[in-house]
Amino acid sequence: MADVILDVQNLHTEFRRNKTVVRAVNGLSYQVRAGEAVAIVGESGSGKSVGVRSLLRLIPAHGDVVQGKAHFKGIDLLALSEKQLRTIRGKDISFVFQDAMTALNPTMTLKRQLTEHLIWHGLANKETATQRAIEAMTDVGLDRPEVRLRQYPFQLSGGMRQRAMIAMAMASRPSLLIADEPTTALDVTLQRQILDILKQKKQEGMSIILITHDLGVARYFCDRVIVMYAGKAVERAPMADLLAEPAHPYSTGLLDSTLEIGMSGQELRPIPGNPPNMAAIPAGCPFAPRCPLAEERCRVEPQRLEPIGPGRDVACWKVSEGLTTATPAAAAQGTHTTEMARR
Amino acid sequence: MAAVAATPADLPEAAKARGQYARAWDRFKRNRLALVSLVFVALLVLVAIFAPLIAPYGYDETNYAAIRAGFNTDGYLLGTDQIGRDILSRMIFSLRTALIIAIGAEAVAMFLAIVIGMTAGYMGGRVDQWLMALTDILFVFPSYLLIIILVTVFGRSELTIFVAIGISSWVGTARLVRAEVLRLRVREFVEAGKAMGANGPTIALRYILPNSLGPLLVALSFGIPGAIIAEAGLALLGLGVQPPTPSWGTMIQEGQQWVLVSPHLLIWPTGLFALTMLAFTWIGDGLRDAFDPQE
Repeated sequence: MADVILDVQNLHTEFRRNKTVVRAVNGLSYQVRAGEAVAIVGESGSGKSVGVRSLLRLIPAHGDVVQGKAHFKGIDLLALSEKQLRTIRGKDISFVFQDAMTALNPTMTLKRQLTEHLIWHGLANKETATQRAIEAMTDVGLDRPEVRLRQYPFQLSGGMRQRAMIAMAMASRPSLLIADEPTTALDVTLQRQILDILKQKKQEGMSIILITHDLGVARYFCDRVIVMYAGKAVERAPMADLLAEPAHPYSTGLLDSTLEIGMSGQELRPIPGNPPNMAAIPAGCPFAPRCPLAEERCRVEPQRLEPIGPGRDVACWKVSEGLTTATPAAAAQGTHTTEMARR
Repeated sequence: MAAVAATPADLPEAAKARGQYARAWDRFKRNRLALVSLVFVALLVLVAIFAPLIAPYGYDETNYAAIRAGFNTDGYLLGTDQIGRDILSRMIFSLRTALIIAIGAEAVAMFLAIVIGMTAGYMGGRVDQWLMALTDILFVFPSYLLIIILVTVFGRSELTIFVAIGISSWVGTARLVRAEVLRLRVREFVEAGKAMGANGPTIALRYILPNSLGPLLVALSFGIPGAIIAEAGLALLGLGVQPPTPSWGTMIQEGQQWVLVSPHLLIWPTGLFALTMLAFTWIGDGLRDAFDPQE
């Protein structure tokens, strides 16, 4: 696979506080190809955000990437020094954060924030940087960019701020864009507009990793999806396949608890229970305590990702050994199906 | 892609999300006492700067024919002191001394506080522990004793005095800066700056420092009168600026010896001194309320 631009293998990230070790990411592997959009979905605390931020060491100081490899265009990011990483951050790999209200520096004009990194990275000089910033702003639909450049973040509305942040990330024309819950803080109409921008960027050939807890957002433009649970991928699949037939019981649960417009006659089913304490992850399958299909073997035997179809693997022995077929959405929680049939 | 066509003015969000400094200034302006104090201090600063033009006499011009002259006698508006120097002129020049001491001492203190507080907060770990241990030691060391030692060793020039005061008064502000760094460095925009490729110094100076100016400004407004009081205290101990350069401290110290016969030698400089301190306190209160509206 020559066109894989990011190849993460067996990533482990830990956070240490006193004697507690929180294994936030616990053997995560994924690939991103050129021009592809990959969604990483999971609940809060599933390690989806840390699993991506670890690549550029953008994690809190008490966190540590303890194991793994992350080859980006042939270079192992995890082996780079802080100084070398700085030459990649914001240049080849850019970030879009969740809340543009808080992710833009309140004491800097947009001009500073949109051009400074271009100059650091030697992508432009003072004049051409402004030109590039204006182009990037026009590109994301910010009107009157020349005026906006002189403004501070507080002078912009929430939607404009999120656009400005995407423009900031785009201005350096990175080959990989990481969007960490880019729409969570926005209202629905704005969400759609921001997703449209990302979709357009993908069509222009940019690779995108979208981190979200919302499959409804992920399905909008992502080609593939990685479902994370307790710091690991439990299922990796083409987006369409996952939506049609989620394999892992957790994927099923996630899909069943996603609300969609136009959904009727279907019940919204939350997944019972809570994610495990990441300082004491149970042996065996971490999802077993919440899984409707769990048996004794699940509680003792660690689960590995096994291929079950083209471009698709799942970490559940019941699925990979064919004991249960990829579960048509909703079937996993037996008793509820009858209820649904009555409607 | 449709453009978002809206000027910031017609968005309700933009109205509520005004810049923190603009909002702080609005709140400060509403505090009459603070505003009047600010005008008063601004006037004093102007007088200090233009002292030679304003003062009717030189600060060391003696007139033995008019010793301890009273209010408005022989052309001396506020009278003369024990060797016939014009009290008004000496007070005007004292403002200069106070201004130099205050600016110098606070420059030294702020520099040390920002460098040490930022380093401690940003580096964390061992560096933080050692620097905080250092501030703890200085904190319990009596600051007057430190100033007196420094002034005794290095002389009584304005430079040594303000450096000594500065060195003994940065500790509280350094802790404040450290706390601000700890508060801000986990904020998303700092992380975003890192994600864009900013290096350590850029993060510290462009992302963290500008966002912690509010508390620093409050600390400054309490530090300035602190420095002036420290100089006055030194003068009372006979360690103030080298005579004949006047300072409020030396004037008060000299005046108190004549308090029973010519109280005006003490009253005028003490009065202005007290008013100035009061003005700074009110400005400080105003600033604190302006930056911390919850209270």
